[in-house]
Amino acid sequence: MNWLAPAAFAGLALMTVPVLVHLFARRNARTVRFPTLRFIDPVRAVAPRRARLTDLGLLALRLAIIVIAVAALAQPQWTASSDRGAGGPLVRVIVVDTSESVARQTPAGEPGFDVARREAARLVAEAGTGLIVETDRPFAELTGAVEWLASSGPGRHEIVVVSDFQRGTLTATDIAALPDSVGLVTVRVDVSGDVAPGEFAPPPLVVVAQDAERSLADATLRAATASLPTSATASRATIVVDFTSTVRDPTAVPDSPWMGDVLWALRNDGVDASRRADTLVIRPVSAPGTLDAALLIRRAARAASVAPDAAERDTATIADSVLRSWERPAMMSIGRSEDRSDGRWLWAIVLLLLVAEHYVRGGRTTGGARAAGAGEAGD
Amino acid sequence: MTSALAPDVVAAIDDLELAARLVVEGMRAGPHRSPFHGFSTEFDQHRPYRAGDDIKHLDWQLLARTDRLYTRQFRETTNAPVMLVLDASASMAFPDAGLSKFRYAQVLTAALAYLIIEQGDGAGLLAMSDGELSYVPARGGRAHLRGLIAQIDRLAPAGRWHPARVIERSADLLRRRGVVVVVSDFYDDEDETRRAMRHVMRRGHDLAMLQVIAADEAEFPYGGDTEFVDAEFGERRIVSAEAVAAAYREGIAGFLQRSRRLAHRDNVEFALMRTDEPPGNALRMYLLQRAARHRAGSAAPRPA
Repeated sequence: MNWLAPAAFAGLALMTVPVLVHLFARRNARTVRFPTLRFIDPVRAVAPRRARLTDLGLLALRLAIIVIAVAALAQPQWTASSDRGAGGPLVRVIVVDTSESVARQTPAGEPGFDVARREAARLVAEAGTGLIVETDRPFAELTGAVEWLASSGPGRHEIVVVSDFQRGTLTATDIAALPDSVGLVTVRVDVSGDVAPGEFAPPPLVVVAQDAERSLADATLRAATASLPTSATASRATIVVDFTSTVRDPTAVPDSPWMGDVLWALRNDGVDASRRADTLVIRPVSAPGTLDAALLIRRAARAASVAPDAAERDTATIADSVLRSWERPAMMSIGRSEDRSDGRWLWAIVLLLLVAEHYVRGGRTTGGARAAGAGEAGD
Repeated sequence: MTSALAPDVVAAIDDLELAARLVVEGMRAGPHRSPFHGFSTEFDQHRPYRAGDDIKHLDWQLLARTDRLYTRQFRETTNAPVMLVLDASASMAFPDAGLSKFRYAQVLTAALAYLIIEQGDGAGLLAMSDGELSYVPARGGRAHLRGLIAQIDRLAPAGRWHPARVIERSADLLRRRGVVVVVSDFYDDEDETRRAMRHVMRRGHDLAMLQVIAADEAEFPYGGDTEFVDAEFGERRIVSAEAVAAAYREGIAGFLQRSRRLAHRDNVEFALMRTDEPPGNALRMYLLQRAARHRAGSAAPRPA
């Protein structure tokens, strides 16, 4: 349990009030002038000045009202069992760097992407609430992460950046822009090796044509891929250019981002496309042997190629000491404007107890008055 | 038709003479057997039965013995003085609100005076309030009645009651054989009260105890912490009323039974009168009992 206004507990001092009232209630005992005391047992007389607590049930009810009202004023918050430590639930945004530099392998031979994603999953599981954001530009996602944390409610807010921390991934300016209440943790993915320098790896291209147009189709392919650099790196793509089919299938859905890149590049060529596993089948309108067909094939090849940014080839990283200086613990945050206190349930209990106290007190007063009235009215 | 004045109506009538008259006239009305055989009557003699005599006066015991019909004759004891002794101590002032025992006793006493004087007997008053005696000699006549009732009305309950002083004195003030009627709650030393009463009877007077008690005294309807203050002695006692109620009720019931038993043992007329009963009814019952005693026709042995 968490208390948003613990200073309210000073109100517990009010418990002395009903105790004093009940202790000295005897001073208001009813006085009756009676003809004789000879039949009133003196052994059962109570010393008039000896104070003792009367009506313990009603006193307990009144003390309970004060205790629960004070607890409600202290604004309690029930916290989930997954909370770690004191100060409220941990809310995390894990920003996973998916730029090309992270694609390199770790000393254990694992692709950096896999290590990063595994680490992100672990960090989310630790937190009460978490969000994973994959981006090749981590610094650009920090503002969005702060916004998301603010909307998640009260708790300890934290951003975790999982990256190889290539120089430029984050800067001091990015860190300074973070709110003080948001914590920052950096998790370095230890990758090494060179990023493929400007490698252009055209995908395997296959043309399909009628027998009569076979030579023209091959000639078109050679023309399209002429002067394109070659590479030993295996491509992710296989593109089939089918000059034979006239079936129009305009609803092909790219299965992979590279397929989408190819279709985007060919958006003005009026092609139909479909996919089979990792193969993208293109059905151009233009006939084999035409310049349009050759240019189409060339654009598809380039769109499907892996071409890393030049900056990704920089192997310099941000020093660990700098990362440690940027890190800070998550602070308790209220969240955006909403009052998340659970005190309303305690106020409901206080209301019920007040009603009960009214009836209990009224019952005692009526009983006494009835006895008094019987004594006065019976004459 | 019931004509008994309810206690709350009696309490509302400030004029004591009016209240007394209404009580007596209420007793006269209605289908009940008349209690009026004369307040003080004595069996006088037998005479042979004559046609038309009320058969309730036939002496059946004498018939059994003699096989002859005789009618009892009662002698109305004219000018037999009656001394009304009224307890005006502080204990009679209970309760503080509504019809107090003292007001009830005042109405009873005034009604008795009205009845007695109207029947041709003399009535007087002896009362003690705050230790001071008030005395009105026993006489008859309407003017005396008015003065007597006025004196009763002037009394206010206060102080303590000394039965030895008052009751014995009343016997001494009656110059000839008469009746002493004591109206009190009798919250006094019981032995002292008995001695005083025996003094009265040794002087040859008839004696009647009219014990007045309020409903709350008998029932003790109190609850919670209550401070009881003795009206005469000022002693205070704070108790939990529920805790003492059972013992109190037992004590007061025993006291009332003791009063009745001792009265009967000493051949003293006794009547318990509760303030929640119409005074006319209470008085009627007492007078009927008194008349029944006298119709028995035997002079009870007086205590030594």
